[in-house]
Amino acid sequence: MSYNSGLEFSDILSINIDDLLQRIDMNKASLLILDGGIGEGKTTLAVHIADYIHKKKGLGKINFKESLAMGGEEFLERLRICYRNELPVIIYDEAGDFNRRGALTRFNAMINRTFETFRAFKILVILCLPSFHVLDNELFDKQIPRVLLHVKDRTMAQGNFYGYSLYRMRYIKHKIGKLIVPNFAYTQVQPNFYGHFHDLPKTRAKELDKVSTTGKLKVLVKSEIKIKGLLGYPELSAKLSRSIVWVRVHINKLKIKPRQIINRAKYFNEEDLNRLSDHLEGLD
Amino acid sequence: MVDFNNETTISTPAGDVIKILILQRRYDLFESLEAYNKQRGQGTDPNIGGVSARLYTFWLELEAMLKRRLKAEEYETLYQNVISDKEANIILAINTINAQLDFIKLTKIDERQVYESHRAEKENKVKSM
Repeated sequence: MSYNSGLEFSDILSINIDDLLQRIDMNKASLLILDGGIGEGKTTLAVHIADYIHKKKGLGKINFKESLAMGGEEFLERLRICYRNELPVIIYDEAGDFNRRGALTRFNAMINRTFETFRAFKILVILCLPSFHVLDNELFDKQIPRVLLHVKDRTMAQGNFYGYSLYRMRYIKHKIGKLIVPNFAYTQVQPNFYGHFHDLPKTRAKELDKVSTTGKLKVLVKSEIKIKGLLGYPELSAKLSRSIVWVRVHINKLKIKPRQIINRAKYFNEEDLNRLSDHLEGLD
Repeated sequence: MVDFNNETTISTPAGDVIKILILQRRYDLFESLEAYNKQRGQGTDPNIGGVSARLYTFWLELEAMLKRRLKAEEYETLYQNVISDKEANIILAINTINAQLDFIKLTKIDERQVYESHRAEKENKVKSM
């Protein structure tokens, strides 16, 4: 079952998306933010919106491998792909990316730089994250985020969204900083519009799950490596001030066995680093 | 009489004080018109002289501005209506002056832009964002 206009979300959202697309046609930066708790349907709604835009431009449904970036590293790569293939929309799902130290600063810098440099990309960026208030004020000063869709209270039948303009976002952001329960801020500012959306069809949801889980797994693997203090060839090379080839050769020479192999990449620990370091001193 | 050395007026531009005085005179005029209508409603034969006098002072306050903004014949008609002692003419004069005050945005109160607030981007635009 779909809504009146045959869309997977309330018609009011399509009017707002059309306004954003019009802005992009005028070479203006446009960032659509989707925020909300885990499992509220941020990515689902983002996919519906991206599909809608693709349909409007006479393209099929989005290809997750082109238009969906899980985490910051994928984002720039996918943005390039979208630009090359003249795709009108990209989804950036932070996928737990922000839990890493310094990730937010890097993200804000990246978004800032992306919109400064690639304004003429004519691509609508949909950003999914748990709470939009982590974004830098600089982004808001530059008026890059245009619409916020706060997703909450998902039921078995549908998800719900509440839309806010940039003007109202600034009020929410201000209130979030002052309240003990930050989420109350959303209830203190009247949304411009609100509506509902359906779940993705089963096959598509499965496809999305696959991509989404892979992305999240990558983040998990990185966290695991960090927690265990494991070092790959690039890290060893940086710490020893020697080339990666040198590290490879001498690890073989010293017959040091990797502590763990993750996705075919070998990882060593601090003890191995010390052995290599002693070996290096001996050579000098 | 306005004391321009008073604490409240010392930091207020003279133009603003004049605007307030004009509004005050307009208010006084409406008061007298209301009293006139009330008396008429009670069945007495009221004198329009009070309204006429206030209108004339009001007109004097605005004379220079009206002369600038109205065409010569419009200005002359207005003047004739201001000094008239006929109620219909006085009302016409008040209408003309009111229209001018609205035009120069002294009494214009419906300046808020109307937009479709359910369209976030429209709101951003109206708020200069």
